[in-house]
Amino acid sequence: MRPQSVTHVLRVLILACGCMAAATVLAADAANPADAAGVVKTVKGTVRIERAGGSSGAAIGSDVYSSDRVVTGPESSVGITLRDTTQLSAGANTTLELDQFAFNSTTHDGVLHASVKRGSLSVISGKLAHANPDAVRFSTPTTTLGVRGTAFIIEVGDKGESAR
Amino acid sequence: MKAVIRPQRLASAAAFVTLAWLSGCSTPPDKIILLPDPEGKVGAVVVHSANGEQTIDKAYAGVDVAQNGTMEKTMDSQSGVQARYGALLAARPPRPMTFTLFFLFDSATELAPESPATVAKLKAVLATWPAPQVVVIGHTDLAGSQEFNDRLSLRRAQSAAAFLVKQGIPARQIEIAGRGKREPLVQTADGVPHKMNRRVVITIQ
Repeated sequence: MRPQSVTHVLRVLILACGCMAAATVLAADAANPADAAGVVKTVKGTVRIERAGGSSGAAIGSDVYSSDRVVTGPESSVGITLRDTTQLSAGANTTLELDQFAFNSTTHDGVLHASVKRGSLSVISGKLAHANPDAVRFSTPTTTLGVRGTAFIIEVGDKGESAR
Repeated sequence: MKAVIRPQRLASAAAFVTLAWLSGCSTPPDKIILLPDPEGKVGAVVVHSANGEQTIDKAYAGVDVAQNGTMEKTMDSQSGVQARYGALLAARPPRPMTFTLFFLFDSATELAPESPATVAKLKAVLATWPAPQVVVIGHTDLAGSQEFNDRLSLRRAQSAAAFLVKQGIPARQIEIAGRGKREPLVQTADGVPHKMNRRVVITIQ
């Protein structure tokens, strides 16, 4: 009796999780494009956007969401404008994770956390950094950057770090 | 015995130091380089590592951060950055552009006489912009109540957005908001009509 009920509980849990995952995917699909963190503006070579539930090739106009990972191949690059007007470009052999993004276009409150796991990134900060600098953070395997309204380049030295 | 052990210890210590030095060298540092923004302004970046914190606030100044967190300040130049990061910088999205349309007093639909020229420019820019996202914010002058102006500014934004849809911009790419009389272009006392403040600001990004 006991092992059975445990199995039953497990099954219900798995079922519930599956449903929640499906609901999440549906919600993401149905999300208003205004909820996207940003949009791809330039693409060269091989660029993939990876997210829970799959990955796809990036094209001009592709939406980028909070928690997405952007991966570029050799001799490739991608340019992304976030909703708060932050402008990003990633160079060749780059893994960029958009850990967290939220932006309220009325109050200009929100958060932007991104990390460069390998490769290079250029940033021109936007309204978030202007309104609330502490809400914006970029990191590499060795550093965390606070942004005081400006443009900068990040290059990760460790070429061996795999795309994770 | 002692005389034998000592050289061994020394040798292994030397080997350890060499290894540490080699591994330290084999991984290049992470590099952070500050640039002037496209309008020429230079801000600042605060770089934190396991070893501390450095602030860079000059154009082309930078910090190299080793794997162990050691930071070293650097100074590059425009040509140096261009040579090393030209491809990266070429991939940057186009800079957002803003256009302002002015309205007649109390009107949400009648554009001021100089507006058609702005509209023509806007259309030309939209035609070539990659995946345009358009943000339309309506504003009013300081004549009238907050509530009245909130509604009027939103109606102005809506009418500008409807115009953009007619020009072929998908409605889903347009975000609208009304800010009422909170952000006048020209500061006036409350209650004062001013044509420069009756406007819609359209940002293409």
